[in-house]
Amino acid sequence: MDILTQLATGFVHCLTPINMIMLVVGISLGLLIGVLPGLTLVMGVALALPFTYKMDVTASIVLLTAMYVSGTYGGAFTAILFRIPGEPIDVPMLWDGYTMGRNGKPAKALGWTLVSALGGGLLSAVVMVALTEPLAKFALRFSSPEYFVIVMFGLLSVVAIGKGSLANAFISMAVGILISTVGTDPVYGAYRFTFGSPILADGIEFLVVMVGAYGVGEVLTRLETGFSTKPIEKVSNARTELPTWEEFKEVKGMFFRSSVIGDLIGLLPGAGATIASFVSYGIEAKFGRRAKDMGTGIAEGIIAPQAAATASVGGALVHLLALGIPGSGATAVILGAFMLHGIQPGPQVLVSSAGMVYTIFASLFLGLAIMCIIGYFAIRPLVKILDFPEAVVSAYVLILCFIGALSIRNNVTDLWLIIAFGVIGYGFERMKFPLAPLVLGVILGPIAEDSFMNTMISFSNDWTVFFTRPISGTIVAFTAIVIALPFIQHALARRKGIAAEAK
Amino acid sequence: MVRSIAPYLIGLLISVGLWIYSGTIDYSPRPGELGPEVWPRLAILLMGGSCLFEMARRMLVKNEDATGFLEAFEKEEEKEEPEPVYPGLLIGGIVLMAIYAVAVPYLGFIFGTFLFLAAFMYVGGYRSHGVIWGMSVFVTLACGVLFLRVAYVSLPRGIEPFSYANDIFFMIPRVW
Repeated sequence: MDILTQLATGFVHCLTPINMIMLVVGISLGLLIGVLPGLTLVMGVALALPFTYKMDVTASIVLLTAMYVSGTYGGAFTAILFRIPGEPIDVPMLWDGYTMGRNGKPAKALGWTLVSALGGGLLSAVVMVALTEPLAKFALRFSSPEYFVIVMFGLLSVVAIGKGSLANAFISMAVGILISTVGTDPVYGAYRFTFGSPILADGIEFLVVMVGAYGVGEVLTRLETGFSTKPIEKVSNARTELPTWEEFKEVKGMFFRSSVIGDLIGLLPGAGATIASFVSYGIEAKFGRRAKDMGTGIAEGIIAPQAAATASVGGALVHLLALGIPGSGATAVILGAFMLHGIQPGPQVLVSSAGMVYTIFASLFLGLAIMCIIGYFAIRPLVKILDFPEAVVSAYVLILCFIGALSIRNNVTDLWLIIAFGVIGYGFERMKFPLAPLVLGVILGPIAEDSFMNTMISFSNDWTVFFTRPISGTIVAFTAIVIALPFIQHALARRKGIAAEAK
Repeated sequence: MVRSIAPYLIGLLISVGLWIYSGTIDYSPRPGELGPEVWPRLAILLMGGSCLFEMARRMLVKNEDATGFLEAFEKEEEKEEPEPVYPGLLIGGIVLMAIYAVAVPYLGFIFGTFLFLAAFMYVGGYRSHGVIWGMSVFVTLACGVLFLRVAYVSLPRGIEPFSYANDIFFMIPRVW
């Protein structure tokens, strides 16, 4: 009951003009980012981060969360209409969404997308409200060893669950942690890795790393291909046709299943909307009632990725708010926004800033409704944005990155750093080193170091406490399982291959 | 082979260099407490160890890479022609950004941004001159009003006479 009362208060706060403006702006920007192929969701949220410096913390989190939610939906438009996935999340949308469009039903495909985003999002919002407070209350029992292992769990999950080489992901994470150690050490006040430069004594702002790696790096990657996005065909019938109740009843079971899968994946630190989208599609293609028809343009192939992607947002916000652990690049940026305002999310935040947390919750419900209204009515102007040449859009993106760097302390060194991290981000992308572990390493590195050093001081350098204390020991066991998963999967795939060869 | 292990060899060498450098951190040790070099050294170990492991795997085992869990859920995509790459454009873009960083303290944000926008669109291969210059003016003015006058973001003024461009924005009366 208390939760419902607080949520009602959250709705009242959310309906204030500034929060509503931020909500509408965030939803619109998220949809635009989703539509534009050169811009990714994390990049968009990271680009908006510097501009939240002078804003009220609640309004800035409402803005970024709204961008995060609608970014999981906007890319579906271009995937369905033009076979251009605006986001990696939308790649599964090409297989059935685009095919349904090619079969003469693009409006219906867009309708299924809208309903899936709304349904998945609402379910995840309910789960978020129900789980955050109990989890935060449980986390109040945590001491420094538990914090250290939970942070490491978050970091290592990103490495183990993501795509690509594990070794590369470990290297990326280590580089991120090392970047976070540059500057003055918090315990001794000693200079670390400053190489005699006074500007590095203040450390490297995570904002510079994020905006550089995701913003500048992505533009450089696209520039190297000569901004080669294919010109789009003219689509005259870009509209949304909602599914009928009869059509919906046929898929309600898998609709619910996909939303639950998305929510559960979102709850895992390390797994974001992209993973939810792929896994949900994969499960439907393997075990679904119409598994054999997947890829031929059926509704199930649209619902599975879209409902799961949007549903993952609520799950991801649970551990961000209750534990202070971001699970993906986008939530890492949202954590960054909290930290810019001097707030460390975690169990205490529900005690000290419950009003803010419930306003954020309420904004997710309202945001989903606004997202669907804008998505339904504004589809034509949204896809019209694709007429802008990529070179023009990219030039503006770079200027936003530069303003972000200069806004930190009006120092050109930050501009140089952002360019340097852009080049590093490009290099990582080119050599298939994932960026998410790097960014999470930069954000979570200081928290991990702090809790590690506190543990070592409190427990006389006894590192076995991480294993012997019940809660931290359990989290270590979970971490070991998550790390072992890719190896088990790899071994199983090899055995399967050998068996197939023998046959 | 050399090409495939080169990034890891560089990573390993950087790890060794950083390990040695971390030994030079100047601090007064406290009895029974770990020093400020311990945490970075754990990260360096992870980096160097991962590089060494990957190099050894590529040279000795040559089996398939151990990949993240998500890889198994990837549907095999249709084979597409690899996109052509233009290293010249990339270098051009990086050089242009470096010129911006050098020039902006002198030209100021307004002039520097205006020139950068136009130059970057040309480097990016766009050739509609009217749109390039028109949009550069529009976006520069919009950024000036939004960030200098509305959001009060502190941005480089540049030297005279370019600094007058910034000052003009502060003459706009506030009506909000």
